[in-house]
Amino acid sequence: MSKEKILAVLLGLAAAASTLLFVWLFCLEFYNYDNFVFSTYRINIYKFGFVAGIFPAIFMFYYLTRKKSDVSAKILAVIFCLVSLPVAIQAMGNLAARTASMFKGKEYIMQKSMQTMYGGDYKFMDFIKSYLKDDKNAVVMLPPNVPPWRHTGNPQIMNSYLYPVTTTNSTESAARYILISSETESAVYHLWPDFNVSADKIIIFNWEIGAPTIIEDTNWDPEVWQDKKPWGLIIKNNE
Amino acid sequence: MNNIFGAVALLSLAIPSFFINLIILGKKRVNEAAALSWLTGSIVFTLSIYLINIFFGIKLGIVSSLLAYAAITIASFVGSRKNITFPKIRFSNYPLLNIVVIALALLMFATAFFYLVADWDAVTLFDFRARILLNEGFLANKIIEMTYGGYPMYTSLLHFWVYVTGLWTPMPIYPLFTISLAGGIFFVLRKFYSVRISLLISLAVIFVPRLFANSFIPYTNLPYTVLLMMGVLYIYLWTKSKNTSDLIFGLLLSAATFWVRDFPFALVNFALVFLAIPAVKKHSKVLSIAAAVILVSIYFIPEFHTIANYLKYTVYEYYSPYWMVFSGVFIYKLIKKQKDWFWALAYLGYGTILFAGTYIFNAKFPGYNLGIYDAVQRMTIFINIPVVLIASSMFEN
Repeated sequence: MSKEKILAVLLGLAAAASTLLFVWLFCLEFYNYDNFVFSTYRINIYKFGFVAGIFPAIFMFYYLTRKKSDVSAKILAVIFCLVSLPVAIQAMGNLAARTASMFKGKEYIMQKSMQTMYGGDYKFMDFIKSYLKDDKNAVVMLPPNVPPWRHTGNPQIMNSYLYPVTTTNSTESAARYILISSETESAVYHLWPDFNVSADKIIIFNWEIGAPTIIEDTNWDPEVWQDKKPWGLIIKNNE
Repeated sequence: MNNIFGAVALLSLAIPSFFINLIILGKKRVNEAAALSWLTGSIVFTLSIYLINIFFGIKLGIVSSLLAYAAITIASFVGSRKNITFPKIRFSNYPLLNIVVIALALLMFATAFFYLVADWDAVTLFDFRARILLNEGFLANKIIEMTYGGYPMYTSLLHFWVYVTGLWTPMPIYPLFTISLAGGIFFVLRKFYSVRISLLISLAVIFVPRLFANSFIPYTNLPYTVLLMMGVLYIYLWTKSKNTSDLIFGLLLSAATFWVRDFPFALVNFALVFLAIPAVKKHSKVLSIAAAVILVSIYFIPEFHTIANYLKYTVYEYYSPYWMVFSGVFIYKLIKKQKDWFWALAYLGYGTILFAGTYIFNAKFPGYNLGIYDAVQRMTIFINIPVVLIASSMFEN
């Protein structure tokens, strides 16, 4: 084998290896979680992703030079390798991760997507939705739309999640239901509601076993619940 | 209704518009008509059910939607019956390449069936409107009163169609946009280049930053990008071929962007039509240089500096090195005294509209430039595609 052929084969192998390596790294990133590769291997794939295009660019240039191609073709091939190939490699990693996830089933992917969007709060939101499923005209009073109630206080999120049930942030509202939230997203703990409520029922969501604790004929007093960090629903006594 | 019926219903949007595309493009261009059939079908169908709901007060449900679909299909079939022909797929020329491309498209589509809507704007707006519609059958006041409720209903109506026909998730809608873009660009470019070069350029287009990733995000940015780019590509084709059907198709696709989002970038597509006038074409180089000088000098004018600087780092630097590739090719074209400045004007035109739009928006909502950069980056996914096409135009010479 001539020296030129050996060089071509080596360059081709280096191009294939660097491409596959980065596809694999991006696959790991998308399959697991954001920043997985950096936190595990200390490789910043987003910053050094262009490295994946260098060997293919050299190989392309060498290949086209040997084929005596037009200058513009060589320039374009190199630009394509350096500019588009890193994005293509990331895309292939993404597709590979999606394909691998597919074999884990719909439930697994759904839970992962929900966890990414809502954190663990979606389990509580599911509980409220299922509890109110027979009361389509229900109105639920939410905590204020400020931290720490990033999900439970956000009327857009909660309206969409609990639809057809509607929500309000107004404490003046005549809503029959009041959400109990101990959400602490990006801020210090602040129990909601932080005022006394005359209640028919207090329903406390149980994060461990799912079945709620129902307390009847007891008014809501935040002082009593402060240390228990409860999540749930108050059904107001409107009399 | 079940998932299989829903998937078939989603894909079947391509049938009436395949006939409509044949009416506009003619039966000799059957491959283009087929490649863009789902894209145009999604526009025609959603507009139809929107109109019957708003103007005729017909409640949207499975029966009214299927009847609307049947009416469009029959009308388009009757209208195009003299033009009807079907694409011939030949696997013999590049069998491996065909298999890889088809496998990638199928994987994109198939994996989407496992995902649900879990992205902020989609959960609170695009998908939510579809679920309200599914429940109530009308574009009730509830939708209009929602935050950003006035956004066009295009993707929400597509979500509604998949839900009402039984599919559990609308996510398979979105890879179809990328597949349409790749197919559309490939078949249009085949008029200028070989199979390999056309395929390479199509890949370079779908691998511009963020475009491919948006195939799995239920936002409106990807459909907007696809319509805007296919629109401008057909207008480009018209400036070369002077075939009226290209102009009509290009203008219709560009106009359809307003049914997806109310961004003004399609105005550039409309303005580029003037390049067909010999006097304008003759001065297109001067126009391009003037546009480039104006765009760069905006950065140094104190009044405009804040917004120009904002766009510099959120869009152009973020999408590096595309602006560098553009600058390099721009200088190359100047040195080589090339005459085709279409893509240069498109890129600079989009930049001008981007600046003007952001400036006006920021005047209305001060502090926009301090907000989330992600929105402006998603909005401008298309901006690098003219760079790919101007770089590819070097092949022409």
